[in-house]
Amino acid sequence: MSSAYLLKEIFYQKCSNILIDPPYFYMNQNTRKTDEQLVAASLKDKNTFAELVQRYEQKLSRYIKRLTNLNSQSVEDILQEAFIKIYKNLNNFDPTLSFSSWAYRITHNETLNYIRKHKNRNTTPLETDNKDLANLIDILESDTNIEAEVAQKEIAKKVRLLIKKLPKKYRDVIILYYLEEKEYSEISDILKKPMGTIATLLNRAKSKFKTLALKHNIVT
Amino acid sequence: MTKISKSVIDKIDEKHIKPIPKWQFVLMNVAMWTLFVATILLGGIATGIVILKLFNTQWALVPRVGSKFFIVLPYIWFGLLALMIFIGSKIFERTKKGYKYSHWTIAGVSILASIIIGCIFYATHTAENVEETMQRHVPAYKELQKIREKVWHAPEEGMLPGRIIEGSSETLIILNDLTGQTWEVDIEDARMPLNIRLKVNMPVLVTGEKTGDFEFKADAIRAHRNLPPPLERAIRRQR
Repeated sequence: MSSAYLLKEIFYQKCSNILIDPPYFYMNQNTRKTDEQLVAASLKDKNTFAELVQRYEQKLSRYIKRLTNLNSQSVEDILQEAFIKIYKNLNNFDPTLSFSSWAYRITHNETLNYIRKHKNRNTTPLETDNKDLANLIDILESDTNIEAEVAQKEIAKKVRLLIKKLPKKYRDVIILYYLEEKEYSEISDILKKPMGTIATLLNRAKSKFKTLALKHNIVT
Repeated sequence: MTKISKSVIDKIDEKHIKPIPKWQFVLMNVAMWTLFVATILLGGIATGIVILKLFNTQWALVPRVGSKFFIVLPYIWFGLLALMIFIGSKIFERTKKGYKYSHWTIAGVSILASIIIGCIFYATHTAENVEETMQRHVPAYKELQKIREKVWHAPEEGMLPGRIIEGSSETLIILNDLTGQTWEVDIEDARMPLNIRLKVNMPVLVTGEKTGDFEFKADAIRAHRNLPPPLERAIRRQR
């Protein structure tokens, strides 16, 4: 094993708590494989599926939290069901799609199913961190000025409120585009809507978001 | 192994979960496409019959029929076409890549496909055969056709369809109408668009004016291809 590799491994071990995706050089024999190769391998050996789960659990868990505001246990339940569904449907995976989009789609649907089943739970608020808020504030900064005197914390609070106020169809595209940083084609594959519709929804979502921001005096 | 991956693998083990076999997805996909093709074919048949009905309509006689003309329009087939386009679009949207296309694109392609197939069905007489089969085997459809045929039976409005039962001279024919009544028809000044030679048993549609009880003065006599085929069939059934 080269010293460079060892250094990189030590670096990853030290930083793994702050990194979402493990860097390529740290990946073991299975994680070096592409998602598609792992899908094929999982069909032969279920234990390989654990690698796929590990590769996506943080991303998908974060996505569920962004869609809902459920506690960790509920998020884990949804995530587990989503992965079970992914496993059951491995033979239906279309390699012309990215595995990521497919996994996001199943997780999205599983989250909606959960919300439908548990109507009484408060699921509308959106969990956002500072990076998320910076992305959302970008929407407003593109052609409006945020009041200088408004404190950052105040903006954060209000932006969360605005997102909550958006209709679900707009919230979904905003989350996927600005927070999950997905391309139009990926959002189209996840939400199973034509790309043109995604572009329209995103434009309307941005416009609605800005209108709400004006109404709530976040921008002038 | 992380907590989640362990719990997922444990659950797979515990519940003996296995990936659904590929053939089930293939079968589902084939079923979807088969249903979609079936809706296009049914839409094509509906379009073919709509074309047939519209081509067979005597548009020159429409002013005489007035508002009753709307009874003649092939609503059932228009309805079936619309239904097939709707169902076909919904099925297509559920195919693997169907979501990539807008509702309008899918509906537009379905309509275009139905029109093209409808034209083929019309040209190959398939539409006509289906329509005749419906009339023979579906009593409700047969009854509906009778109601439609009666629109053309309107002596008061100057239309008298029937079968020639006697042609004693060049000026008078005796006609049995759709209801079985016998009429004396004065044909002295009548035009015959196709220069037809009137014969006994020939189905005709006489237009003109009712001059008395079961007496009619003709200004034109239509037969052969100037006579709507369903009406011709109805007159022949009167024998």
